[in-house]
Amino acid sequence: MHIDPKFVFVVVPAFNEGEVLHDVLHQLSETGYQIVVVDDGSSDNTVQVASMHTPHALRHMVNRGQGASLQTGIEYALQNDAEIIATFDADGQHRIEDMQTMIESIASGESDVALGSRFLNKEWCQDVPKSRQALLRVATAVQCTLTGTKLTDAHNGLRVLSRKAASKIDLTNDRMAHASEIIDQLFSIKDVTIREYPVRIRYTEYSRRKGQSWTDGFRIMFHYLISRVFE
Amino acid sequence: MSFFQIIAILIFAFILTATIVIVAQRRIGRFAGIIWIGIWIAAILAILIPNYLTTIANTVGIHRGADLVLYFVAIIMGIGFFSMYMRLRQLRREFTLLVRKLALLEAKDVHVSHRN
Repeated sequence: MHIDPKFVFVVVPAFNEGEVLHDVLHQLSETGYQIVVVDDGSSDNTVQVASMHTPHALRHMVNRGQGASLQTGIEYALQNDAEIIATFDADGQHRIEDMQTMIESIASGESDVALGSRFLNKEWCQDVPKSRQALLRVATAVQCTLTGTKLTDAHNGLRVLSRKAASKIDLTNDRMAHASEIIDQLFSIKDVTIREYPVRIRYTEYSRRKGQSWTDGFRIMFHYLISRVFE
Repeated sequence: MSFFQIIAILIFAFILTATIVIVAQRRIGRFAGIIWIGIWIAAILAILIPNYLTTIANTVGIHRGADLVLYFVAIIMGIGFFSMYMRLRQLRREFTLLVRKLALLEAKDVHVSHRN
């Protein structure tokens, strides 16, 4: 099934990404999809850069975290008749072609949720720096145990959701623990097919600097556990 | 009466008066007011007659009056921290919803003005 690109929304959460956002948005805008940038209370020129590329530049007046930004972007997309909603990191670590493959699979009805995994393709795995691999493997193992799912990659920012799946998402974990929360919620929806797709991550000096460390990992797990206890 | 007792009683007497004024002005509820006034009076009595605290402590199986106060404060602080934490979570959540609502409203304005 072919889908009109104007019903495909790509949500890009951005916090102080002015440096790199320009390139990412330039590439994304060539796809013809609707680009939604959620500036999460940045102190740099993120919102100006976003406005140059898309009419859908949203702004959180105060920083609320990536989970909160994604939820804002998803709600905006749903309000504007999105049929397919993708989430895409602002730092340029994802490849457009990977996202397009995932969008096509949703459009064809192959699945309702497509999750990117950097570990599915043995060859692309090599790109992941050793220290990150170790961290992500542990994070994935912990996440699988806690959520009772069998996924190969935790915390991959590239996801594509059908309207049906997206409208059932309600992220209350404002910060990074949203990545596990979104998995939890997706797997709790009835009759939704979830598939993982191999994606290649571009590791740059910039994305590594902004990436999560081991201490972040523990903090994220802590937040996730707390939210599981209280909600 | 020791120097400490005089200072402590003056401080609690001041807080007690302030609480009574606040309750009289209906700035806090009557129930909360009575509880606070009760706590301040109990504190003044405990300082004036230390033995009465020891007597109460003994009846619940604690030797010293000071230990009774210590346990009591620990319990109250525990409850206090927990309820503050829950309140903070709730506030954060509401704050996020507010920020999101504003972001979505602003975006709507942009769209209307684009169309015109």
